[in-house]
Amino acid sequence: MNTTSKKKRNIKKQLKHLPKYLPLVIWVAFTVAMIGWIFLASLSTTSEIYSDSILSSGIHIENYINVIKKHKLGLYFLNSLIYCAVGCTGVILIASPAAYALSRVEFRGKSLVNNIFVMGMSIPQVMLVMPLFKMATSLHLIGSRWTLMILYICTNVPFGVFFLSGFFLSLPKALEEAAEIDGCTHAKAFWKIMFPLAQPGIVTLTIFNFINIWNEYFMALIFANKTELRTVSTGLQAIVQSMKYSGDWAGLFAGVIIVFLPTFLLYLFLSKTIMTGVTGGAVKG
Amino acid sequence: MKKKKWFLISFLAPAVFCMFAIFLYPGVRTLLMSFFKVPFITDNMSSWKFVGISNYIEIFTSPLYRQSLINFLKIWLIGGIVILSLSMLFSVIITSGIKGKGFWRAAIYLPHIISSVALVSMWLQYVFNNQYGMFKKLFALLHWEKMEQFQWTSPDHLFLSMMIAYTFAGVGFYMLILVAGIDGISEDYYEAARIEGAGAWKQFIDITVPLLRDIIKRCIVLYSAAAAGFFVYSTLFSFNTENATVTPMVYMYESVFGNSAGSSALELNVGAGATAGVTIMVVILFVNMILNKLIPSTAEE
Repeated sequence: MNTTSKKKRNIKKQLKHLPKYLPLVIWVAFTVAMIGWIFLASLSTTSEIYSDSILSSGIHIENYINVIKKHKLGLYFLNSLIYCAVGCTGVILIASPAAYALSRVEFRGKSLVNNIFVMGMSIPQVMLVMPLFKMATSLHLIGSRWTLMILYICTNVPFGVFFLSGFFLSLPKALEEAAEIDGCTHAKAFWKIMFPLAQPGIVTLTIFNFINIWNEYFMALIFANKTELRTVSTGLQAIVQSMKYSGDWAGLFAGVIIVFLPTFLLYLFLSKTIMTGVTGGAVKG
Repeated sequence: MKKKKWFLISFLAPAVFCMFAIFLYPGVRTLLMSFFKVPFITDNMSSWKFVGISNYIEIFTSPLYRQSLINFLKIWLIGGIVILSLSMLFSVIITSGIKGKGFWRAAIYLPHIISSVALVSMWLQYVFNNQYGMFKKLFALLHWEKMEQFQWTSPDHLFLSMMIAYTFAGVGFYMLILVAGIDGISEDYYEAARIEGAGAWKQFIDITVPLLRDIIKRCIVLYSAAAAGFFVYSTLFSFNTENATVTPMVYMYESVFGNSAGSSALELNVGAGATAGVTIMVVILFVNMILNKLIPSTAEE
């Protein structure tokens, strides 16, 4: 008796919530319908797409093979993986020692160094690209993968320092003090003890940077000006432009899915980590 | 003591060097460049010609730059109100005790992690398509003749279409920040308000908004910076034949690197590009200044 009335009340409570679900359901249903249709269309032929009968002649994997080989998306994919791997590693190697020094060690001029990072973060990219292009030309770096690798490391360092400082501050001090008593140097204490302890923060930052670098467009457009250097973003845009003339819509959608998948799969498994990274970075900043 | 110095230098030097080389020096150089005539981006400083503020006069009298400023204002004000209101609506719904909070939050944030180029291709080649497009099919199903015939990608409607796609991608990001903020508000406040008989709307105005003040401000600052640096959607939604979606950042790009189609209406002038960059930065600083005046942070009171 008691439980049924409780159940009834619960259902009533949920019924009251019902109108609230409406905007959420519409929004998410649209997302699913859009991405789902693109995926199915990428497995069909172009004439099926136009005649509104996708998948009617079975699955056409050749769209994918075509766009990877003939339109070089495989190469762009590899380029982006290289940029991401080097970029993410570089950021950690440069930002984590700096973040440690700034959050754990007292020294003169600390606030000055802190201010340099804050100032750097507030300069928009549009102010940087012109002199950077000139610098890259003087150093004969234009036309090599190094330009984007260096830029992706350096442009992500300030946020990395800021994000990891917060993380180091939250770790207990006792461990490194013990290490120092044992005769460990500062540097050794960091690499042996603090760096492994900071793993969760480093992983969050790396996923965050991976998604950023994978999706980056502006820098790639300017600095990867040869076909062989293109990233997935600028490469896909070039493919879209050429497919529009050749009319290979199924191939185009296959390309879209290939570029979409890596970050989507990461998100599918690590959405919680990614979202805490975003809110942590945005709210504290 | 000496040991500590070496440790600090070896730990901080790479990051500080990168700040000077990639941020501070280029930033100052661009600022200087805006007062010089620089024909090519690879020109040395010695070949720059000082022209005072004539670059500024040039861009503010250029119709294309004026169009880009108008577009920026539209993106900032109208887009900002729509995007931030929608994110607020979603974040309030998600934190109101509905089932599957984590799922909804993750699903609405999803578009933000997709490559802009891939996402825009989905919109342009599918949703807005005028033959097999999703909107066309949807409005046909609803027998809404006028909307079914709507040409989403015609030059007159490109800006609207661009803003719809941009809104879809952007809402999740601000929603995420606002949800984190609302989660930080103690349930006691709402409990007390409910006991006194305050409705949902009154709770929102009297509890959620004032307590979220800092976070709302943060969202406006982030959105303003995004609006000032609006570039990817603008270039992807322009087909090089019209300037309906031009923004200051695109203007800068075209006056420095030329139009990708090679048919730029602009004469290459790197100095003018630098000037456009400086104006973007000034706009961001100005918006932040006004916001700090209008909405002082709670910590300062």
